[in-house]
Amino acid sequence: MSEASLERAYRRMLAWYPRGFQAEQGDEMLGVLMASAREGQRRPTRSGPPDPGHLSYPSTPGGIRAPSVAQTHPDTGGPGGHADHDRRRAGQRRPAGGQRGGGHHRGDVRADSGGHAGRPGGLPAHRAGRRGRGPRAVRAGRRGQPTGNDERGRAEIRGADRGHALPGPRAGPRAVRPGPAGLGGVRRPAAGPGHVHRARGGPAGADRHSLGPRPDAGVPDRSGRPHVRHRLGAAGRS
Amino acid sequence: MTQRAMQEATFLILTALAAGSQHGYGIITDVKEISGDRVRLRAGTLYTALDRLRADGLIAVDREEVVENRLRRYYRLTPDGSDLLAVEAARLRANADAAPRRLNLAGGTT
Repeated sequence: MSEASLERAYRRMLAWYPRGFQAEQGDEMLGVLMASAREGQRRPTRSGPPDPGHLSYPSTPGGIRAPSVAQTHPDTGGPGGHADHDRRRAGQRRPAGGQRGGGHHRGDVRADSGGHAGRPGGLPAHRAGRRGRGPRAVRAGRRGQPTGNDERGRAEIRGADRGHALPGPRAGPRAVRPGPAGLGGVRRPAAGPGHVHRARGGPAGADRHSLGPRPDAGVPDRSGRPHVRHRLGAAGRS
Repeated sequence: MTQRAMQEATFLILTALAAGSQHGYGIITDVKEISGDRVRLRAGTLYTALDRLRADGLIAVDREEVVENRLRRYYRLTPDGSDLLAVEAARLRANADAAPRRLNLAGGTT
């Protein structure tokens, strides 16, 4: 019973992979996932130590990247992220699939990570586009784990640019965007004049990218001027 | 530009296959054992690596079996994979030998 439900969960996660990979290695990988499961395990978990974060060898200068250290996108499931935005729209208080809320929950999404995270095998975050079926991918790293390796992220993206066929779901254009500082993405300047990013159409506090202190309307910033929502503003944003 | 060093997980996967063909779960358990329980590969990591290693001709599928209605695919090192592993092992050994040698020269005690 529990095994069947676990297998169903893994099959749902495997649906994130390209069809070619599913056809070629899906059953085999499912066998490994099931063999790796604990006794009585009913659903994929996200527990366990991280695996090596970066796989490469001389013949692939850019290297291939292990999925364990996800990065590249601020959607962490925490407040202000895309997942949070989606939850709010759906009236959910907490993310589905056992994912905990909280601003620092950078889900290291792996094969046996759970539910809402939903990317089998800990897909590299940049491979997890939002097209296709299944929940929105949660990109990010393990809570408390330093993931700020910009070079690694760039190497990964370079690898993708070279057409390295990493198994994983198709990447959407947003998936290759670097995440905020601390998530392994490209570090941007701290929030200050001209560096306020806010969800389009969202409330003032709903910073999709959470690039620094959350701006509160009317609170003076470092320059002493009152914070102006969207300094890039209507005129500056396309 | 110098060649990049092989990453540890790749080295361990190739090492796991050095003694003979292994299926996916066998590689995971072998890597765990070789690394002294320090490296635990995830399935996604493993298959990402296997995919790349196969594409580069360093490993190949040895055979397939069906066990309890599940496909098991066994992988083996190719001659190129064996050569690369040997080169990498020599490189690591040279580096590992250099450290204590230098420490002794410096009269360092740790």
